[in-house]
Amino acid sequence: MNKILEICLDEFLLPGHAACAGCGAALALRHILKALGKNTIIIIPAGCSSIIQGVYPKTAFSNPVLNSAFDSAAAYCSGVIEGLKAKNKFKNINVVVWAGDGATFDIGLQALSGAAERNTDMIYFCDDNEAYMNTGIQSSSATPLGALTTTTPLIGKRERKKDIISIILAHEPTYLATAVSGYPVDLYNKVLKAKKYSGFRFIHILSPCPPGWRFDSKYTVTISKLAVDTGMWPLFEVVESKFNLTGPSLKLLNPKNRKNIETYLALQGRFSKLTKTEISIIQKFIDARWEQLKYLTNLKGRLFL
Amino acid sequence: MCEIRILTGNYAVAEAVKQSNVDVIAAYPITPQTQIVEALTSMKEAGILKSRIIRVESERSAMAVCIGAAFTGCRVYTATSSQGLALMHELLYWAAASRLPIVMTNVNRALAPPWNIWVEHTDSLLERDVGWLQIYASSNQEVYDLIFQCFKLAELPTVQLPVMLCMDGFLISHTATPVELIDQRIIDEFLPDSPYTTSNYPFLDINKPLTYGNVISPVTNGKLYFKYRRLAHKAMLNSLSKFKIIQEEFGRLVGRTYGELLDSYKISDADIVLISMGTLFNQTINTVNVLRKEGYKVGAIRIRVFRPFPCKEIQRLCKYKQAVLVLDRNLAPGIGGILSWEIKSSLFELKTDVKIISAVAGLGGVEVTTNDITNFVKTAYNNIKNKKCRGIYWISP
Repeated sequence: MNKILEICLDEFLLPGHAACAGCGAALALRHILKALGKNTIIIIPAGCSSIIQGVYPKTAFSNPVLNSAFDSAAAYCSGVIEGLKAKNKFKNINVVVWAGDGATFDIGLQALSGAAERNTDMIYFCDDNEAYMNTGIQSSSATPLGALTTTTPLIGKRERKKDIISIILAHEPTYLATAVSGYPVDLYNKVLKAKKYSGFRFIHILSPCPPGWRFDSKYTVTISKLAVDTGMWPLFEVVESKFNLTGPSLKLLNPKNRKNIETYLALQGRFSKLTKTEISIIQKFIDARWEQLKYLTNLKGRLFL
Repeated sequence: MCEIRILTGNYAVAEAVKQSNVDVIAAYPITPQTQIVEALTSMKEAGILKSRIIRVESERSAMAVCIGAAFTGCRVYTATSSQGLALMHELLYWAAASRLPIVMTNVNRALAPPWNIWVEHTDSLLERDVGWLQIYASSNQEVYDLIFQCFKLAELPTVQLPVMLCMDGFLISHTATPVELIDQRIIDEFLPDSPYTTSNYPFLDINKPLTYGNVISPVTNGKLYFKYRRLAHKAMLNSLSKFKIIQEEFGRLVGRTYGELLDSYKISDADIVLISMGTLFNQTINTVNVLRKEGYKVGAIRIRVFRPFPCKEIQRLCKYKQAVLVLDRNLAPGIGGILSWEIKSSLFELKTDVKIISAVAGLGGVEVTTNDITNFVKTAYNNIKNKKCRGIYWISP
């Protein structure tokens, strides 16, 4: 599928959900559910989506949703799948986790690793808005270098963002991909592809957050596109041990095609305290990362250790 | 017809779980529970266990898998102990508040530090208010029999709550005794398949999409949260009478009973009552026999069901006694023995003159002998007669 008009017209995330204006997560979730379809059970740990779904007795989902403890979504998911298998009801059903970066990078990493090691028949979506947004923008291990949060309030975070993709890759998932909410066709296609495989699948989505990243809500799509176009957020997938860049990232192997990182950083208030030196450190990190991506693209042998 | 085997408590539990037609088992190994997991996984690999087994990476995930599987309408089981139970704490609450009929064996063990793998009841008593039923066994045979009763009780539409079956680490878990196994046909009659066939629990179903557990605001629907908590309390209280009925039915089919909510020994004419849980009861029986020969009118009670607490039964049995001596194999620092406080609360509303004496005994698996208990009873009794008050007794050191 190449055009946005070809995306399924059914809506599974219903109007009236409780996300903030310009929420990147709601945008991604809408397209993911369109790709997953009706026969999908969603496990949601604590996070923004606990709120986005709405307050009882209303719900913004037309799929079954099971809210889980913060750290245990992947294990809940294993349980639901084993239960459905025991009852012979698992055929043609997707059981997925939709979790934030806190529930993935930090508190839920152990349960995630366990489910991945067991090659649980699930798709795990990490909705990454790069901080604990639901509790009011506290720093997480997904928060990037220099970003201001309410727990790194004056000079910004001093550590780099945790490389979760390498951690997940080490578990040899059957399918792994990155995506952004601003390129919905790329995202939609990846979910369709993930659905075709069985075993553990992981899709990591960058979701711009207007209040958390401190930008006007009209810029959600612009910023998520800039994340890709500057090379900050490479779009790729790993299928059967083969690494492929996808969509707009394909042309970025040539450094000349990558926009200056400042265009991405300058739009966001959270990066307002970055020094010139720090910006050049970030640019160097991106360039070094792309050298590695180039190596992976050309790699003929086995990707995993 | 019945087969008798020499089994440790752990293997007796595994046999009972195998016979209970469990759909999903998820467990993480911890001493002294380990053999339950080992036995069940060996049965699975040998092809004699139908259940699906998930080897999880922690006790938290064990309980999370149980919750997920129970949400699909499955019969699920797990087992843990001590540190593992403490790690599960938050998820125990999720399971109970979701009204999922999960059955778990907790092999009672002391909590670290320092590391201690031996018997103590503090681990499960720390979880007394999470909404799980708690039943304490005192023999391998009782543990085996209780597994079936626990599933039946948990799955009753008027109960629908998780049940924690507690047994003493090593004293039951690793002690081999003869256990009479029940014929599978009798089990199938007593405990039919599929927990939800007779109830209307709305489990996960793609054809009936529901959102489970989203926010209830105190402003818009706060009363509902309150109502759900009250319903859980009501279900707990329901379980008291239901457990009696279940045991009667089990007794008719199998021919074994263990008292109801309480087990007792020579209680009717006793002036002094010794109350305990788990295997300590066996020692208190010896004490009763020794002291009766010396002229003391002593009897013993064993609390089998700790949650919900059998207040009425305690009141009925202890109202006209001179003294109630409670042996607590647990300690809540700053309060003392947990069981003794439950007994005090139960008897308070009677406004009786019965003296309630608390002794903390055998923490961290320290042996409690008949002699220890006998000496305690004599000392406590003399102090009461001489109107000497003192706080907690410690057996030993």
